[in-house]
Amino acid sequence: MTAFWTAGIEDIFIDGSFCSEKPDPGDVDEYWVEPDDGVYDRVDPYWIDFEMVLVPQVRKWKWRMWADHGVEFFIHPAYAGKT
Amino acid sequence: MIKSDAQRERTAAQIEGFRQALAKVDREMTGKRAATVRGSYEGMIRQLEEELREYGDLKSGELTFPDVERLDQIAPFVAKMRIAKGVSQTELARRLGVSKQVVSRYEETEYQTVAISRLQEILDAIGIKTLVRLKA
Repeated sequence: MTAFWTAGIEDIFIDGSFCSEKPDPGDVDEYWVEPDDGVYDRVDPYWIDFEMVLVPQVRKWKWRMWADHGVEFFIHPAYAGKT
Repeated sequence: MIKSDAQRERTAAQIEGFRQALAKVDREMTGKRAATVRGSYEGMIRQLEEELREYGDLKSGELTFPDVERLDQIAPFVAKMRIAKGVSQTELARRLGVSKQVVSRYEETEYQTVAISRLQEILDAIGIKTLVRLKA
């Protein structure tokens, strides 16, 4: 989360199986709210890398962050609605 | 994973929503911001399309049944086996004598909360034969 806080992102919402009753949750779905349109120059590029990689264990194409950490951080471009 | 026709419809609607959002990105965003948001939306569309394809394959009966080494490895395949056998959540609920909500809850947790005896009843209700071989 530090990568997001230091980039000025204040709102992060968590969803996915970690928010369910599933005893052995598989992954975390989260989204962060765009604070301004300059955030893409501040946030660690790793977390805005949306290239797909093939994950052999599940035989699916996923984002690298999911392949490495089992998390998906989506973007909610709320700022777009304010301009 | 898509587990019902209703979820399939919702997924198709989500894809359409992302396509419309992509068009909005093209109209309203520029530079790195546009490229990044576009990349995330395109990734989402691709993942959702894969889910639709997987559900379509399962519905047409295309499923390779796994050889598993542990009983707890069966659970994630139960919903896939149900779909491949053409049994809806509603029909499975009817066969088990429970409400559809109960089956829906089982599948939300990938049957991880179900006791082995209940899992066997579910497999029987779906029409899945099991072969268990124990080795010392």
